[in-house]
Amino acid sequence: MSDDRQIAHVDASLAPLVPRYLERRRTDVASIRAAVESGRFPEAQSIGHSMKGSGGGYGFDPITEIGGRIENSAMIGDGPAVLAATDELEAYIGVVEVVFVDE
Amino acid sequence: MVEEKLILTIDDEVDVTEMIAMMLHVEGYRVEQAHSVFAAMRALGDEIPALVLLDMMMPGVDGMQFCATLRDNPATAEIPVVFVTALSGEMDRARAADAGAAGYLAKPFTLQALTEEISRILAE
Repeated sequence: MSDDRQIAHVDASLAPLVPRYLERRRTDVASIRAAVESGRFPEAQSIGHSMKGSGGGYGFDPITEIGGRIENSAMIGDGPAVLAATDELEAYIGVVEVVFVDE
Repeated sequence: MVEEKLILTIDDEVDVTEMIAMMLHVEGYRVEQAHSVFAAMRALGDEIPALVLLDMMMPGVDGMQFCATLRDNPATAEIPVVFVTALSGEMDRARAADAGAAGYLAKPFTLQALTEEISRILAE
């Protein structure tokens, strides 16, 4: 049996911000798809860059990793790669379980 | 708990400034968030912070230029500036040092890295 669980260990001090942070990433998914659809790759690149910079700080390392791929793929106008990474982002935020930790 | 020193965080990314504010609040700092240079200038007019955390890349603004602007103003010239950026190459670090930055923090960063960098600089 496969285990598809994704667990993020998040500093407890950030607990009030986490729901809004993940909601913004859901908005990003739609924004990136729309940007690629209309060829606005700089916009997708910018969103990816932002995710790369913030994800790991919150404890969501995959968001940083996926954001970096979106940024790099958008930079060279590789629409299919951007969309594939965006699909991964959507899947991740759909399953991630947050465990708050006191540091 | 440290004295309630004021930290000004300047970044167009609300996700980043909110995270910094929350992290530093529990460490005993006061934090002012600015999401544009205009807002930063207004905040600087209200109170001179103990330290500025400055994004290197904001829409239409080069963080290096803004750092130079702070250095050129006698009222803000002595404020330590820490660049907080997703640019992490050696060239970027060298440019930050040339611009007069007191520190450099690569995104994403941990609470520990953030507080250690701030404590190190404020202790100097």
